[in-house]
Amino acid sequence: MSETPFEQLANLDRRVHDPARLAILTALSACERADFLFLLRITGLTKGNLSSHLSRLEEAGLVEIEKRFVQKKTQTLARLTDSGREAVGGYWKSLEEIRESASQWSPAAASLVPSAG
Amino acid sequence: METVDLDHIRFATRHFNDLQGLRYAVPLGLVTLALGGILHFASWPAFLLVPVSGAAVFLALAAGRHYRRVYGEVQAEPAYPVEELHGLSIYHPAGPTPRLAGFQQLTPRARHFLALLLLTAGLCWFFQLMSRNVSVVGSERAGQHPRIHSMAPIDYDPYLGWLSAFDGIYKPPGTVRAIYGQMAYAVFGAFFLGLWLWRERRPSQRHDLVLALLLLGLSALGASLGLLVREDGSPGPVLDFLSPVLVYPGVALLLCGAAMTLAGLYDHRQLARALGGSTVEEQP
Repeated sequence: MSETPFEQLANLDRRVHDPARLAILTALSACERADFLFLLRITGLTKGNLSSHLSRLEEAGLVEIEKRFVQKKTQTLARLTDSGREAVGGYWKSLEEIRESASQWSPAAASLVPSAG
Repeated sequence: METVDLDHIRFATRHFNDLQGLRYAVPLGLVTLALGGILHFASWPAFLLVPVSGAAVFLALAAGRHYRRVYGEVQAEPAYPVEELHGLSIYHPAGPTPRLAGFQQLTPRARHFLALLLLTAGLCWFFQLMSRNVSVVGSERAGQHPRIHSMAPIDYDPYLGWLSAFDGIYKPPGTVRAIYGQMAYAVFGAFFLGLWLWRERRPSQRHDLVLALLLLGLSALGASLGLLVREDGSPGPVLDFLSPVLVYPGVALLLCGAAMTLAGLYDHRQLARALGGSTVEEQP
């Protein structure tokens, strides 16, 4: 039996679904790599929040962080990993499926489905 | 956060480098304006191009530093997708396609702009061939209004007359200068059209389309002058009024330079707005 839109919504990839992380991943999906300052400006997050979200994304294997020295200053660069690109693509695909199934879903049809147990 | 916000984020990231108007378009526009001014105004000395070019280079470097310092850095998506280079060769019995060592292929963006430029230049050339020859008399630097007159006989057939272009037919200097001006419109118009297509034909980028249509329209109109003159060989009042814009290369470069400068300033404003104040709702 197929899932209802609500169940599909509940099963969305939590690593990507958070608005701040989605903003970061969307920006990174549109380029090869971007530095910390750019991500700060484009998402409007604070430094601490951005740093924390990037760390979580790196732990999840969606983002790769590289640090380098440019004119005696540390520059932090972030790029999407292959699995990160897949996760973002999969997320948008899931959203599109939810949108489609929500447009066809009605409470009357749902009440006809026998409940489990 | 809504989908439209994410779309803005994606667009601003993807076009971060080419939206840096103060770095590219404005310096180029200023040099073009200076060149146009030198050709058009008698009081503008030719050596003015040297300080203006120096100032443009300085502006480009300073703006690059400014963008890096204030907005950060973005490395665009790779210009040479792996599958484009090697997709076919690994399945080919003869092995990889041989390429000259160290010789890079054109990037998709360069191919895109080059195709448009060639198409526009070709169209402009076609217009010139189809058009009856017109003589343009008048000095731009002396501030004279150009006098346009058809040089072709009344029974000229535009469908056959273009063959005469291969006979090395003589064109007077005023006509050749007019062709340079029309080519400038064509090149800049093609650039703006390419930019609009490159930026995904978005409503927010319609200024590029407007500029492209304006400049390409002037190029086509100027190149078709020979077809539009009256039977007695003289232009009508409207064409006569527009003639300095259509036949003087100085005016053409001034208009193209102004368009480029304005587009650059608008791009800069767009970038500053996109990266200035967007905020993401934070979950507690």
